[in-house]
Amino acid sequence: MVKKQITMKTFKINNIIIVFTFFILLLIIACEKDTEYEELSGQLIGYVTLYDSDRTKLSDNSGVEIIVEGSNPQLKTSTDENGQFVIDNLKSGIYNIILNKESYCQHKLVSYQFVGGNKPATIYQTALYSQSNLQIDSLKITDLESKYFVEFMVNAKVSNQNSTSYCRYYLSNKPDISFENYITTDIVYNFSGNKDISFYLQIDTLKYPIGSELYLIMYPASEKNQYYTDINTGNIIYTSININKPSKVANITIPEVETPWW
Amino acid sequence: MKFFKIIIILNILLFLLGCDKNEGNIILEGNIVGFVNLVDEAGNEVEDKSGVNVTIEGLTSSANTNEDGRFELSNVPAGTYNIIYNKTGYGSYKRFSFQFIGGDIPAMTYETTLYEQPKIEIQSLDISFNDNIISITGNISETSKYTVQAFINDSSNVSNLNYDYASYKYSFCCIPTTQFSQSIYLSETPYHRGDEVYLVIYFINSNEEYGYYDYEKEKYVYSSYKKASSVINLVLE
Repeated sequence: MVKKQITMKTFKINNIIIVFTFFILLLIIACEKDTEYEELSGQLIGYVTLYDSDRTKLSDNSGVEIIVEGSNPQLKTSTDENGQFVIDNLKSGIYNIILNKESYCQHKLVSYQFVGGNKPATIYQTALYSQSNLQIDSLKITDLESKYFVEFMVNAKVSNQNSTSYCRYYLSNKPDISFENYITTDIVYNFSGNKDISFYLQIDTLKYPIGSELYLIMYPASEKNQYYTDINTGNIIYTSININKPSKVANITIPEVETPWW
Repeated sequence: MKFFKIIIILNILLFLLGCDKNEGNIILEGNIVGFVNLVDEAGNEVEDKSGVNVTIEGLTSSANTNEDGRFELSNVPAGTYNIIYNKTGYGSYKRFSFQFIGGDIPAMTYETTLYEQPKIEIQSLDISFNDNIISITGNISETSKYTVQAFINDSSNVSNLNYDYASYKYSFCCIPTTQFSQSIYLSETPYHRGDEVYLVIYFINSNEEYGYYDYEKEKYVYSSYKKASSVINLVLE
């Protein structure tokens, strides 16, 4: 009798161990599945086209460094001859993708939302422009003394120019003006061989009130439109300018004008 | 046996708890950043763009813009959302189906512009039905630029979101005026002679060229819509 009781107990304990192990196993399997889903990741493929200072496509698009800002550890790669780059095992998330090459204008794709999955995500046709060599030697702004409107003429002397080029000018009411800190901006053209850039400027007195100081700065530009939006200020940051070669800051006081009768 | 049961219950509890924790982590969270522009009645950009309330439909997340018009919604779980922008005196704008993944860097939405609602008020309004034409003539307190639109429905809860017929938008943008008038031909409307209808008039900021399409109400909406009249009962006889 005594012997039988002991075997029953052992059987119970064995049973308990089996059930417990079974549940632990189930738990591990079930939770592992969830963990896999949580870390949805995938491949990101992109293409970068390089342009030289004449805005012609290069045949060799290699050597552009690609940095995935926001990935941890930070993922990095570079483009091949075709301009293709591949980022593997990128986790689902939001990233800034920085494109960098020496003597080219840095560009940034801001807040890129990446889902991940079995097929690669693709970023098509990002352009990177060679930095303009144009030198802005002087910058002058003069009042046209118009009766009803605030109108100025801007004159810049330039050198080191080898083809038709662009300049981007920025206006602000503060002296610490730069390509990141401005109120209005636009592009001006300069044709090959011209040593002078001059253009006409009409000022909106709502943005620049009469009596206030207007500041102007100019940068050589390789192209007109490429930009990203600064997530902190909302400013449009044009990226195809040469940030290393700004002109000196010119300034002028907004003159008084008559209110038109109409 | 009791001990055996306890172990099983403990196991089940452990199982539920253990995986519950993981389910909470499945969805990424992150911040959504955007910029709101404000345009006043005259069409000028407002310098102080603060005080626009930004919310996500169905969530408690809420943020207000600063002077630059910037807002940041924090700890939003991944998902597809309708974002609502609202400011007293400027009405509200709804951005549909914003897809958000979540992550360490904030997502950015396109810039939204809210237009100031016209501050003018109708002083007298005359509506008549003659020769199968509904004629509306109104006078406002001061000369101003604004756009007028009339909505008609067969029920008395007619509004800019609940109508059978919306009139053409008459814009008094270029020559500021104190009087507006509008003619609606019966043949343009879904109504017939003898029908009883309800009509209401709305103002819109004349600088707001494009509104947005409300996919849920299936109506085209301007953020600066402002109810300008009471609901007027009209028998088409």
